[in-house]
Amino acid sequence: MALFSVEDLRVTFGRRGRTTTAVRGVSFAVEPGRTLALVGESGSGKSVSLLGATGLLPSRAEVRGSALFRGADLTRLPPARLRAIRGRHIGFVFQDPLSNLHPLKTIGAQIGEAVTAHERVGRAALRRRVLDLLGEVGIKDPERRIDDHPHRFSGGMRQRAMIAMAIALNPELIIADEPTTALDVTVQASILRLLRRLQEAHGTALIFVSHDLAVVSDIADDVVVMRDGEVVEAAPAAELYAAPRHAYTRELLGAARHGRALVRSPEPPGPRAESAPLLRASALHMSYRGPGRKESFTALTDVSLDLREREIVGLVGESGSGKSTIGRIVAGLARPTAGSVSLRGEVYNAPGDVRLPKSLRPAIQVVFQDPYGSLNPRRTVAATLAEPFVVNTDLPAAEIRARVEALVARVELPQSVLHRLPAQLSGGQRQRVAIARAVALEPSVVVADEPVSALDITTQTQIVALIRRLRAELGTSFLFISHDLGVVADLCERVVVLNQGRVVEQGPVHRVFDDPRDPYTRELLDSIPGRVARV
Amino acid sequence: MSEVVVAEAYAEEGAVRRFPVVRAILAERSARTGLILVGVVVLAALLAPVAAALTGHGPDQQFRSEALADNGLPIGPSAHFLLGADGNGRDVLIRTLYGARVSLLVGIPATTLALVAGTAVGLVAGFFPGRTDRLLSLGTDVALSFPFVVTALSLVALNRGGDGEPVVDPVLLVVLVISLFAWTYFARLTRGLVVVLRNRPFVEAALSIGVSRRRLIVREILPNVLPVVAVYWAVQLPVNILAEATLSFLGVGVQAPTASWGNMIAEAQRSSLYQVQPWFLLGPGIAMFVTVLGFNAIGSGIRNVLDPQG
Amino acid sequence: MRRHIAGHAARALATLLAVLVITFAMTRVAYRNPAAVLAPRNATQETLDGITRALRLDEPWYLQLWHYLYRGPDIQGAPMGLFNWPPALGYSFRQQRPVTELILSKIPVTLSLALGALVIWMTLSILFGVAAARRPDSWVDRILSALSYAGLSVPTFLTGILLSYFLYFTLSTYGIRWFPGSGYVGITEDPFEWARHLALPWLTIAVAEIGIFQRVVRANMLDALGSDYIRTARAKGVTERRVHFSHALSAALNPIITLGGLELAALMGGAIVTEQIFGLDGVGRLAVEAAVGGDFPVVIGTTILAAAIFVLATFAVDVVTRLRDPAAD
Repeated sequence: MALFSVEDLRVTFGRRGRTTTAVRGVSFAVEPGRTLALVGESGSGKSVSLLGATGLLPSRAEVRGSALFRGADLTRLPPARLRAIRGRHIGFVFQDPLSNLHPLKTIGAQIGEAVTAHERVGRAALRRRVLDLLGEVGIKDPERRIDDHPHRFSGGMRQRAMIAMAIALNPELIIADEPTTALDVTVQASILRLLRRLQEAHGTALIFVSHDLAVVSDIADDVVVMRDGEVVEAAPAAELYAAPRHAYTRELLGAARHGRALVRSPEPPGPRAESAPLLRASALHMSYRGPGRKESFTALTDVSLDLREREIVGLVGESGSGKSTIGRIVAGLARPTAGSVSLRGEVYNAPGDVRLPKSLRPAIQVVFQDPYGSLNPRRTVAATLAEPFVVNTDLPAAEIRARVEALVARVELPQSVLHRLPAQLSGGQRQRVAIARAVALEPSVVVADEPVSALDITTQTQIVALIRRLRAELGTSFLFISHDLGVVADLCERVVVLNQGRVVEQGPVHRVFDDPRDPYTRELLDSIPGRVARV
Repeated sequence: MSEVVVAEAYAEEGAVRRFPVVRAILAERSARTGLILVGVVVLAALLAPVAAALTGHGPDQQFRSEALADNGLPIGPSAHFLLGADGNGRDVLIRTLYGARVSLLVGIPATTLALVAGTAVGLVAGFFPGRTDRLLSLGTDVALSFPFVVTALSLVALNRGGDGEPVVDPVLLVVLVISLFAWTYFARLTRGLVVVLRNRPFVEAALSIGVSRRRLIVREILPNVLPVVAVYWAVQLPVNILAEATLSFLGVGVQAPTASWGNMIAEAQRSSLYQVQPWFLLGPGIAMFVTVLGFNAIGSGIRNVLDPQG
Repeated sequence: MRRHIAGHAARALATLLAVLVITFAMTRVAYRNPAAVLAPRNATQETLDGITRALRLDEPWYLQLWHYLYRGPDIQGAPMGLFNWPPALGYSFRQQRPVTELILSKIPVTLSLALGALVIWMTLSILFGVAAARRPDSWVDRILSALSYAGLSVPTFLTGILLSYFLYFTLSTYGIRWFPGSGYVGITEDPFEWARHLALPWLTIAVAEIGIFQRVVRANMLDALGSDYIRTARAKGVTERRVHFSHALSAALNPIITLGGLELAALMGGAIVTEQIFGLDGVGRLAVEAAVGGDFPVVIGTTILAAAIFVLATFAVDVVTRLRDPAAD
């Protein structure tokens, strides 16, 4: 008999008289000791259905259907009985460990509370148990870290602390809701290993929610694919990866191309290695000094890189590697503490008062990660796209209008978006508008800082295809900053690998990814989920 | 505080769609109630002269023989004096209606003036970090540290010319005194908003297109500040109406015989006549309550829509 | 942290200095001829000149300010300047007493009034705010919001008059004398009488403040209750009571502390309306009488006091919220 089974679950949200349905009749089950993966893009209802089943949604949500845990229907239990099950029999690990930990309570207190919520334990005994738990989830030096607040922990360590809370009372089931999404790849790999190890040691069942089929491929026994609040396909993992039945599953699998693209290694098409560089950053250093601090923080050390005509160069590294700082310096938004950046031999960014001449300003443009923040919320798409022409050219209004319309068509958006505000667009549409603004004046270089990381996986594929096409049509070079090696392998000709502000390796993508010379590059590549499964 | 306000202001962004917002606000019960209450008050203010003409009672006219009993005490509500009379035999209803004019004529310009000045200071302080910001923030701190009533009293004393006659119209002075304190609120709010906006990607994107500083402030930053500031205009207005009433109550605001709710209540209290003629106190008191409640309800309705959490 | 405090202290001092200079300049302009105000009605020109010289009103204003700060008026050989020991703020024209002494004699009343009201309004606001946030849009929430809106919309002076009318005047006509209408009894003399005399003034202030604070508590509680770490606490099986009072309230407390500190400071600078209605002889009343009577050393003194309390409160609030925030270094 299944340990936990959800049957025909429906969740609707009511707000100010309007109701929206998030989950429409979903069923799935997990056996003791097994792992079920729930996969779907944002808005597919995967998290909502689990939160709804365990009574963790806000009161304006209405949950119908049943969620049986060891024979008891959680949706009908009185709150006190449900509370007694949560934490003791079902442990939870949530996505963003920073927002999910109380900022003002120590890690030790928060883990301890997972125990004291269900048992009476003396203070000394509790402390010992928390220390054991911290050790079990692999936090070094637990004696010293137990009284720290969450902000002193790194992202990976916070997630380990969350896992310690979930396993505190050795529950039969752990629900992990996108537990690795906010983390760097190497950290993600270690968290996945930890979850697997704990599961084997305690025989716990696991429900693993993810937007990424690749992440799940290493640990799932069964996979349920969801879209728009419904189950699209449910099958044992081996079967689903080998022969996906539903078109949407195939699309998701295609988008989760990480492992495959790395093997495919595209031939470098355009630029010859000998041609003179279009943009050259040489010996960049960057250090910050916080207000009132003596020691300074070094973000970049001796970074040099070239970008040639019509080339897409990938800049990869984990968070804190300094890749965004390079992007900002190249875009002229920040000044390095040493070194210089030049365009066609002309230095435009260096310490001191060096400026891009106004005529060259439009030659380097930026696309940012956050599709919400990069468009002015109070201006229509038409006004945003007209801005580059209004500021830099003397074109008559009619001509500008024609150019804006052409631009919208170029990024494959319908003309109807012109009169909308950013809030009325989807994330992918916004990113297209941001890209359209960047290429409006046909720049030589576009710095794209994680332009697809905030998007759904299928939208990512479309934006990557758009960038590739724009390069072909306009001849623009791109500096493509990303933490996602799969996307970089798919799109770029050359790649620069950064670690802690230094370039550890650079070269053609196929060379670097097939035959990494630096140990850090190798570690990055080994951490890509799903690689082992399919290579 | 300003961080809270900024967070509040930004929570709304998803909901910004020009006209649906107005519709959503009107769908709020508190906003509708508020609009009705405020509508009544505005109507009362507009119709005060009509009421005066109909009854034949001017706001400052004394009817000692009709409205005062033989022992000199004012009469209660009657057919001629619907809310009775005050200690000088004036019609409480007519004076209450005229009081609405003073309230709005002081509250609205004072809040607007404060908004304009405060937003300008906040924009500059937020946009130019470093010395400019520090200096303007210090100015805001200084203005906030002055005790409101005592300073207002000194300013009123300052307004007395050599012959003891006021130099500036007292009503204008009250407007100036209130905005002298209220601008700090808008300055802090705007500064907080601008500091957040300045670092947003869309501002940096505009910079990399080559937009000038002036265009950046006018086209990118101001349109994002103004709607929020306008909401806080509605929130600040009732506060300033109360401030006028308080000053008038203490005798430093609108001066007798001009009718203001504050000085009417002060007179009722000072003479203790409200104990025999309760409407002397309740007339202006209820009017005051309804006005402030109305504006507060509108403000809360707007905030409910723009910031569903609060 | 230490550097932050130093920076804040420097800014506080600059603020106070600016307030001092502005107030001083303002009083010199406002009370153009204090000698005439002070002198007996039919004083001779000689007397007027004497007063003018004694107060150094014939010197330029900056010398006056310097003198005021550095030495102050010599009253029977005792300097009354800010930079003397003990520092003083001058000498009241009207009451023939040093300003510092005058203010100090009024502080117990104002302090009792402000602190007592603070305890009442904070306790009730937190209880009402948490109760409302527990079940938003329930009837409890609606009633509490309606009450807080009413409190917010009644001016303090009206609340005061109505309370004194119903709880003092009307009750006393039935022979019930629970609450005196005015007056003050020191806490050291008789704590019970102290509380009895201050009950109505406390209530008057509390009504208005609850109108503000109940909504702030509710909004911040709702904000905190919607956050991810509350869901984590519930997922651990923590009881709802603990979720509300330990997890959510502790996170919601900062804006409440900030606003509370500033409101308290404003009250200690003189709860003028309340003091006037209930005949309490506090700092606010002293300030108003001085301003009306042209006793400008007292005006300057009370203004500086209010500004100093405000600046100090801002400072204290900043330190407390920083201490509560483990991310601040």
